[in-house]
Amino acid sequence: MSRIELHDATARSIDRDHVASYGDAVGDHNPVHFDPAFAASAGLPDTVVHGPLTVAVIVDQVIAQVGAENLRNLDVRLRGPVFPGDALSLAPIDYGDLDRGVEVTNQRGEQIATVILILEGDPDA
Amino acid sequence: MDLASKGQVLVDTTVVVDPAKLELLTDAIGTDTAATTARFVPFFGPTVAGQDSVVGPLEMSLQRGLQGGQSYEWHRAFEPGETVQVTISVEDILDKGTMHLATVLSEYRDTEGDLIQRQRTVFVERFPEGGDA
Repeated sequence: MSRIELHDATARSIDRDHVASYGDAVGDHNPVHFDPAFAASAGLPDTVVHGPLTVAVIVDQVIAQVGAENLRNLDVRLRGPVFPGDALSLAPIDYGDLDRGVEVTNQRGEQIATVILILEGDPDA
Repeated sequence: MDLASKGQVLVDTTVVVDPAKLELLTDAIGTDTAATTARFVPFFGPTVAGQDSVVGPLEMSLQRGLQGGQSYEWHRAFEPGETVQVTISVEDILDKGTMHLATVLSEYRDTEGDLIQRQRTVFVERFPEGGDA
């Protein structure tokens, strides 16, 4: 089986209504995700998108490219905060034969996350 | 964080994969593939179970704490309406001086005991210079 290839892609922006749906889905109404005053008290410029929602958007972009049936393992390191209105871009990184990676940045070019991915047909799968 | 919580089982219970919550999760992701993705990124893990089940036992401050990482080992998708066994435990806690790192392991099994997926979530709690770490 030939190796599945990923390509550059930009996800739709993560908006406040997405954050609201996520909060309702998981019952996480931590004020850092909803209350700008609380976020400011923590030194943040705006409320922060739930980390797991950021991860879900990244997984969704991978599924859109390779299909859910090819998922095996995924490891996301969150490097920077995501704020409402941010749109994430994914760019594959070639680490050689064993690992495949994805770099995730926002619309300002700031690093948001790095991802190590194993798909069906990869040597470790 | 409570550095003595390593090895502690935080949650060991059964939950039903609620189709209504899958729909909310689909709305939150908001793409053509979102309904599929929602079945791979469950909403009842340690990142989302809230203060009572995970943040509480870890004694993590919500103002200083954040999620540093998330990994998945997928075996299959969750089925809407199915009953799953969820076990969440503290796999590791590290004291890095200005920060504490906790790795929380979540395993999801079906009623036959077969693994559906395994997640590891890394929580980071940072302390300011000269803080009370």
